[in-house]
Order: sequence, then structure tokens, then C-alpha cells
Amino acid sequence: MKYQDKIATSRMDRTLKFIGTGAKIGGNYIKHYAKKTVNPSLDKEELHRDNAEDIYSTLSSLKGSALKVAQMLSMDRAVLPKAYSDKFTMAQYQAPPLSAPLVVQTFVKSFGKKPNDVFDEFALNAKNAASIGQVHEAKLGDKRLAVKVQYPGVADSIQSDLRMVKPIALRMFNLSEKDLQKYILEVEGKLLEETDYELELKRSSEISEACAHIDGLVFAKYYKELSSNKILTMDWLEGKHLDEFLADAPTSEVKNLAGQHLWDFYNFQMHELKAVHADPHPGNFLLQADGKVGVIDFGCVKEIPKDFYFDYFALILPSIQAEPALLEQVMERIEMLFPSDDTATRAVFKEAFGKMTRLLALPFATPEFNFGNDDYMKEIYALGEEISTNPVIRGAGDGRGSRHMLYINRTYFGLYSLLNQLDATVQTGTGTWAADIEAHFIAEKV
Amino acid sequence: MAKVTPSKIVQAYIDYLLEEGHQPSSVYQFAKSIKIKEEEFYDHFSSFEAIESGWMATLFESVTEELANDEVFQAYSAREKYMAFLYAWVEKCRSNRSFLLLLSASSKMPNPLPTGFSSIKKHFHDFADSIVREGLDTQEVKQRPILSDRYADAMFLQFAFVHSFWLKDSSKGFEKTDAAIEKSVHLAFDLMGQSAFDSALEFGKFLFQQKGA
Repeated sequence: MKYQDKIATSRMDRTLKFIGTGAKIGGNYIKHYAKKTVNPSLDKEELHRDNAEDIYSTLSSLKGSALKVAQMLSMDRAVLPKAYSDKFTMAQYQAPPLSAPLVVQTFVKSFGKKPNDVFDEFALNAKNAASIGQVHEAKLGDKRLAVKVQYPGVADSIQSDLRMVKPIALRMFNLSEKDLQKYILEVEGKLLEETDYELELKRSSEISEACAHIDGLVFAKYYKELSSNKILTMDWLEGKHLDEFLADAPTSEVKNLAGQHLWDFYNFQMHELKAVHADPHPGNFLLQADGKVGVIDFGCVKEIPKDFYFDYFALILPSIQAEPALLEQVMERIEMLFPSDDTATRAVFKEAFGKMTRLLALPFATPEFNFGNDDYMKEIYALGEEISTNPVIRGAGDGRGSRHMLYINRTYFGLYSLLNQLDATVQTGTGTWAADIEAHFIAEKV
Repeated sequence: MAKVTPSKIVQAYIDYLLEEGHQPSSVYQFAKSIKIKEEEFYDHFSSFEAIESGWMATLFESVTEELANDEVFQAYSAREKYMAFLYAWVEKCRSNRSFLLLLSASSKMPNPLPTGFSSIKKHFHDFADSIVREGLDTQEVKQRPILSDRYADAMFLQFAFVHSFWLKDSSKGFEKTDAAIEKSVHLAFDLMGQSAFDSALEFGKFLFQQKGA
């Protein structure tokens, strides 16, 4: 069993780590330009790859929120060059386990009993690492259970973590301190929620109940009496993580089916529940051989404010896009455009966001969409890269887009990328919600 | 009259200290307050300090005994065993935290060790030695000249550190103590195991020999 030798928790520790990364990235640039003088054809891919590796190795030796931030970045692939995101997706499963005695200690604190006295069987070696905890397998009676145990002091370290990530993020995305703050607050709030296992238990029961009617989804039952604020006990779900699932070469029917289930699940959450499992990375889904999808980890749930919901989804409706004045109004409301913009800047942003929205809304425009089409994903990356390197946009240095967009965009990127990896063709379309939104805007005008 | 047992005296003493916030002014006064004769006190203890030391020793024994009877503990590696011991120790101390805080506050002399720790030093040594021996067998711990005999001493200092840390810990559920244990034990065992230090020593030796040749 391999242990993490030490977890950097003190701020000093982490600071040193991050300073190390900053220095290394600087070094990579020097290396890049030195090589380039010898070999002018050298492309930036390699530089990005070097940078991603150093950032990754720094972030992955941290636990908790820093790992989570790595995951967030890995999800937001559209603003990251491909080399970054490839390396970051690795952050999703692997984190070295906590020591067995600490797991026992956590049980003693929560229940006054050792794991072996709570369950009939309990495997002290963790099966999987979640971002802020680890998952153990247990048995009680004839039930196979998954028991999530949280690392101690996670909530405490989140704030110190985010402060440390800030300088890196400032440089990577070229945002002003104030604008970054608005996103950081959003992330911080969500991360702190994730450490609250009692909240997760409540939410998972709510969402799985509300989604129970959707075909092909499997939810775990959670056990309140076997859970505490540091321990979460649920049914063990059968199924495989995406890469293992794909390794078994499932038929395209099965893949399409799994993709469809995922799509339906998200569609329902977005438009009916207005609260969404905002963590669609491969580690949170278990795929079964018949195409059923097990959903785990409800730590990150984004509730969508009503006003924001209408504005956000209005952007993708052709009927709204056809009305430039209304479109601009909506874009201003969700902070894509600022009233203070001069005409030239405004035009650039309008163009860029318009392009992005139309591209991302493509699946909604047709009744059926083939996510397996790599060209589509590449187009998204390319546009993301184009936008993030556009001198006007980069130079603006202000945070465009409402803070609520952060998790909703991330959810869609995550979903698209999952469906792309599944190579799934999905029945998409806009459903009845499009009419509801149009009705809302007509009512608003009157 | 019921027979006076040592444990009864200890319990009465703890109650007294917790309620009054200080040691009784004399054994006579204490004996009177719990309605026993002074010589009955001296039958079992020579002083209040002896009660405190005895109590610590009992606490220590109860922890090690509990661990010895735990199947899971037996399967642990040396590193995990030591960790499990520290977790069990602070867990045990938790139900006596007020008393332990009073003890450390009432300690008259400045002492780098937590109050009562000198009395369990020997017990701890035996326990730590058994862990180190096991570590040597499994190669978790490296045999080094002179140094390896002092491993248990170093572990005792670390034990004292964890205890003091816990006394001062104000985090919810003493989470910080958990982190302190996890980290400090990893550090301790990384140092005791094969490490960069050994390679540096080897290299130094090699260079020195080249000079002589």
C-alpha cells in the first residue's frame, strides 16, 4: 500500500509548493524560447505540455480543494489548451490514501465504534479516492456498501488553498483581482458545501427521488444512521468507470443508450429541478454493461437562480438571437457585456460570445446529435483558444460572465466531453422548455 | 466501613481537583473531605503527585491493552501501529480533557514534558521499542549505528509533542491533532527508514575514503 508521505496543509507548505510551480513554469518558457532559437518550427504544444505537467504535479501532491481546482480547470477545457486538459483529467481518480488508523479514528469519533463494530466487514484499504475523501468497501448483512470517509481538516484548508491558487489563476486567465474574486467566492462556496456530508446526503436523496422516473439511471440509497458529517454510507453501485467501460468494447447501441441516459438526466435537472449535479467528470458515473448509468457523488450541486436560468437558456434560442436589442439586453444581464464597454470592445465580445453560444448550442438545434464527432470538440477547443488569446478580450482583464455560468458551463463541458468519449449519438432537441422560455420573454415584454 | 481502594482515592482526587480547581491543601484535609483516615491514603499513595502519575500510567496501560486486543491493530505495519496508538491515546484523553488541562495548568515547575509524562516514560519506551523492533524486521525502520538505540527516545518526544498539541488544540473535533499525528508520524518514519540522509552519509563516506587512498 502506497501512502502519500505528507499532506501539505499549512499555508506555508502550500505556498512553497506553488512558488515552486511558478518558478518552473518560468523555466519552461525559457526552455521553450531557447529551443525555439535552435528550431524555429517548435510549436507551443510542447510548452503547454511542460507547463501542464508542472502544474499538475504540484496540484496533485495537494489534497482537497487544490485537487478540486485542478478538476475544475480540467473540466473547463474550452478555455484551456488541449495539453493542459489532458494532464488535468488525470487528477480525477488518483489521490493517495489516508492511513488506516486515521480511518478508524474517524469512525470512533463519529460513532464511538470502530468500523468493524459498525459493519460486518470493512476494508481498511480504500477502493477509490474522491477529491475530499476516500471510498471504502463494507458489508452489512447481505448489503454491499460504499463508505466515503473525509480527510480531516478539509474545510479549514479550502480557504488557504484558494488563496494560493489565486496568483496562478490570475496569470493563467489574465483577470483582475476583483473579477477573479467573484468566481473564487462561487467556487469557495461550492467547495465548502462539498465538505458537508450531511448536506450531500440530503441532496442526493432529493435528486435521486426526483429523477427516479428517468429510465436507465441507477441511484444509491444513502444510510443516514450509518453516516455523519465525516462519513457517508451508501449502496455499492455496480458498474465501471468510463475508461474501463470502454476497454470492454461495448456496442454502439449500448454507448448511445448510456449517453442518452446521461443527457436525459441533465436535461431534467437543468430545466425541471433547476438544481444540477455539477460534477460530471468520469469518476462520478458508473456505467453498466446494459447501458444503465449509476450516479454517485452529489457533493457538488448547483442551484440555478430563476432569472439566470431564463437569460442563460434564452441565449441559445434562435427566436431570441433574431432580436439584436433583446439579445444585447440579455447578454448584459448575465455580464457578458458591460454597460461601460466602448463600441469596439462591445462588438468584439458580442461576436465572441455569440460564436461560442451558437457553437455550444449546436446539439440543441437538431433533434439528434453525434457527440462522437471529434471535429465538434476540436472546434470548441479551437474557439476557446481563439477567444482566450484574442488581444482585446485578454486585454480587457475583466471577468465576463455571471458567476453562475461557471458551474453551468462546466457541467455542459463535462457532459459534452463525457458523451464525446462515449462516442454517443443522442436524441437532443430543445424539448418543451424552449417554449416556456419564449413565453417568459413575451410576458416580460408585456 | 467499605474498604478503601486506590481507584476510589484516585476518583475522589480527580473529582476534588475538577470541582475545586486546585490541589487539596494537605493530605489530611483531602482524607477528611472524602471521609477516610490519613494513613489509609498513605497505604496506597505517598503524595498527590503519586496519584497523578499512577493515573497516567493506568491510562497508558489501558490504551496499550486495548490495542493489544484489537485484531486490526495486529495487522498494521509499524508506522500504522504507532499512529493507531497516538489516535487511541488522544481519544482516551478526550474524556479526561478537563482533568488533563488542570494538571498542565497546575504544574508548578516549567517542564518541557506534559505533566505526568515522566511517569509513563518507561512504559512508553517498552512499547516504542517493540514497534521499532518490528519496523526493523519489516525494514520500515533502518538500523543505524548509535542512532537506532535512540529511536524510542525520539518517539517519546514526539508523543509528548502530540499530547501538548492536543492540549492546545481548539479546532472542531480536534481535527488539527489528527492532521498533526498523521504528518508527524509519517515524518518520523520517513526519517527512521531508508532516506536521503543515508545516501548522503554513504556518499560522504565514499568521498572520505577516496581522500585516504
